Amino acid sequence: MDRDGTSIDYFGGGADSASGKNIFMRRILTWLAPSIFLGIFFFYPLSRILGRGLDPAVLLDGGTLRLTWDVFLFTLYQAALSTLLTLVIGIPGAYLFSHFTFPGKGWLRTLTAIPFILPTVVVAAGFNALLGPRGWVNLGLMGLFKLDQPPIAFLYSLGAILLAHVFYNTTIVLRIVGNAWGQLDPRLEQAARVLGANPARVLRTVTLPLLRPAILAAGLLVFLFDFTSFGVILLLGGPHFATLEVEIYIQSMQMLNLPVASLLSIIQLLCTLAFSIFYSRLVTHVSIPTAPRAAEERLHPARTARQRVFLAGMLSLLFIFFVAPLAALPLRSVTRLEAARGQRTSVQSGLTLDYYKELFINRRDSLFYVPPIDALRNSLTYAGMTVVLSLAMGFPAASALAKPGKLEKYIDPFLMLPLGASAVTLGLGYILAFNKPPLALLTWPWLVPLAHSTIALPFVIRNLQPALAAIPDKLREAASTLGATPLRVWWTVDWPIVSRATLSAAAFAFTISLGEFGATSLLVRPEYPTLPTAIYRFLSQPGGLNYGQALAMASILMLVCGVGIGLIEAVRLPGTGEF
Amino acid sequence: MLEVIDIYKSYAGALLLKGISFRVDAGETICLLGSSGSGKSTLLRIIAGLEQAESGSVCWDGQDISATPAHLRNFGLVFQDYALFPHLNVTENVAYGLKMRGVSPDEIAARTIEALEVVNLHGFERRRVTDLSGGEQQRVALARALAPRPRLLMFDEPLGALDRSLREQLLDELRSILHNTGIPAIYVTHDQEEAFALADRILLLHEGLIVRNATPAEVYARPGSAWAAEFMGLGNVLAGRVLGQGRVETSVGVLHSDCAHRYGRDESVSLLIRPEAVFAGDGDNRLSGRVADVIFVQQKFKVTLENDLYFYLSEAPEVGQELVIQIPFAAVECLA
Repeated sequence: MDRDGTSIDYFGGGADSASGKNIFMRRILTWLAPSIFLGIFFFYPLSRILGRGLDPAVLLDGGTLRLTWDVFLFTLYQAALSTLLTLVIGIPGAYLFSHFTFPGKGWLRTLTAIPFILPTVVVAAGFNALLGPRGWVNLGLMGLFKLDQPPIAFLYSLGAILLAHVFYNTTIVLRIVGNAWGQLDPRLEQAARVLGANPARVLRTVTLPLLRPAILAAGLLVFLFDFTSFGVILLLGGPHFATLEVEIYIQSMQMLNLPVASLLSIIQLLCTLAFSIFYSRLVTHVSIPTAPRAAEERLHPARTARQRVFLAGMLSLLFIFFVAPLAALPLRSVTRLEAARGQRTSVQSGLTLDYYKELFINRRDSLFYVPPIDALRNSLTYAGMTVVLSLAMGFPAASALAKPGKLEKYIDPFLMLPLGASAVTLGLGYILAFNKPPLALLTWPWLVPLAHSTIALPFVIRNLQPALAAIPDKLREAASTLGATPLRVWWTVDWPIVSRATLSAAAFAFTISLGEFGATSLLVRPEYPTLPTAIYRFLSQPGGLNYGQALAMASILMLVCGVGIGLIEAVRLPGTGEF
Repeated sequence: MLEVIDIYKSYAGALLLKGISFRVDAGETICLLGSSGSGKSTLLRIIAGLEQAESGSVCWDGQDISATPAHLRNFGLVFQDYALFPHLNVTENVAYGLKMRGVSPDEIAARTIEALEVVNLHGFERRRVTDLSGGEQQRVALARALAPRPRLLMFDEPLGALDRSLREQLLDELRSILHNTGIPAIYVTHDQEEAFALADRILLLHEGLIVRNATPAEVYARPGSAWAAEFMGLGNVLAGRVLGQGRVETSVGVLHSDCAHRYGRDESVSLLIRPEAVFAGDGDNRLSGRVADVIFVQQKFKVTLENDLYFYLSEAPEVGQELVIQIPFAAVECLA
């Protein structure tokens, strides 16, 4: 404690202190590391994209403009269609969750949220395992009806994209609309009924108008996710479908046309920015007339026969829809259903761990220079590095934001910007920014984790900030009056409160890094593949063995991510919001 | 004319309403009085058609309407927290019932204005309901219920959320509206002052049954049970044991009561001693006790003795002072 009685405040900000300039300096220092980090590894690459893309030669080229326009339209189109379908499934689902109690409700709720946090490659692999040419459904039908060709052409179709998007995002509608519906005062609907409105008219004139803000918010968020979707389009859409994100990737990696890629990135950024702003403005204006006590009246088990049928139907649909792709994946990875390479004669079908064993072997004509299992090792290593980096940058940022001053108000939006920028764009920016001296970093092993950290940083900050803000100064003051040095104060007061949040933030960073596909696909070096990129490469190659190995790796990734997610959920602080 | 016959309803596994029967005739306002959680609101919702009774029926003019859905019963319901539609303004709220019944737009406009006049909200047509004060919101809720000219009006503790003076004012307005329109009404409340002010008949609901169905004056004069007397705060309710010859042993002493002759020796009886029946000084049923508490109430002092007996005096005694009081024999009432 200072002798003149002012409080200790080692993260800057705070009460009246004689040395105001000291506080200011401390603040600047706190921001120094994260600012430099983001400056070099986010804003600088972004600026290079702007430079490359705003080249008049590119902008004025008719072919480029045409391509850009077509791709943009398709992105809008598939996002709109996906959103519509998601709402069609999600709104009845929201009705289900907000009105009925049934056994296993908690489990089903968690189940619907799992796709959202899984990496896109896993989801794509899962659908592939279920509905692809070598998937369960096709092989089953072929066996049943003795067909030569797989009857269902699911892969590389618009239907596949839409289905995967709905699978991914239904949980958003279920939660946002479900919450709003559950909080809606049931007396409003009762009043309408007594005034002469039949149930359909109650829905139309009272319920839906009151739910509209929530439906709009959920729909917009889903649209945003569908608009920026990358992995799903690439893996399940195939060569014929390209959204902005996918086109950036193609132009960068296949066409080697960086200016066009940059132009597309700029458009992507602008669109995402516009939608994000729109969404945040919408969300602040959502207000539902709530009646917490009365809302409990709303939940009841299914009573009439019609309700029971609806409940049973929806539950089955949701269960099958969410379980099937997730279960298909690991099951398929341990099942051999066709001839092995070189053995055209006999088909030994049955359970096998061959695909997993193959991961450890580097066959002569393999796609990689290394055994595929190395991809797991690399992914885990990168994930560990990501955790270290993002915590190192996230802690000072979060603690400064925990006590916001004028400076923080300006910095905060910039910190959250990586959330809105697409990962593919980031990857492109890195290629542009770090391909020549003095920053020739493209072969630097830390580059991929740096990209991951940039992407994970907003999540880490958002996790740490509430915990850091929750530590009352009085506790610290009390500790130091009792004789504790600043370090001990931190260890005995701050750390216990912050440790849970740190664990959660670390788990977030870890899981994000493991599943990251967009930026990594542009930055990865062939001799150091990550799991997602390895899965992608194996899936796009023909042959049962490649397919099996891809599914095996995807199952491993699903398992490891599952552990990470479980950790996040177990350590979750009450009060951290949904979206 | 509404007739409720033998309604049974459970809540959370236990029986809440255990056979409720009563009638409401044309032009009558009846008050359903009971403590919180006694099932008054549930009964109202059953009558409105928002919930189904487990057995029993609801009849209107002799016809069983138990199976009729809520939106076809043409009853009006005013909720405690108004339940105004927040996305509609005042006029749209009031017009809602008329729209649902397919009334022509011209008539809707006319009847909406008329309804707002009745509740003294002329000029509020375009206001947002969320901007209104509690009293104004309650009036809009009333106008909304009145506009479709329902054949029965129901009120579910409508004045509960308002302050005292507003409550009294609205109570007056409500009474005149009900009197002028002549619509039969069921008014549910736990406040006996409201019930006494409004009702043609009071129905006391206790433990799932109607234990008293009479005019306010009758209920006041003869509450009918210890619970009723306590619930309505009529006075000191004492449990007693009859000693014979009109004498009853109670916690404050042995009292002589005119009505105790009806009971046999050693029988239990509840006695009611209204506070206005207790006088200072020596006389019948002489009692003495120490003052425990003195509160100033309007123009008198409410004195409570250490044995919990309370009464009113025009002059305040000291706390701890020994007082001698008397209770006339006829004023010691026996409750069932």
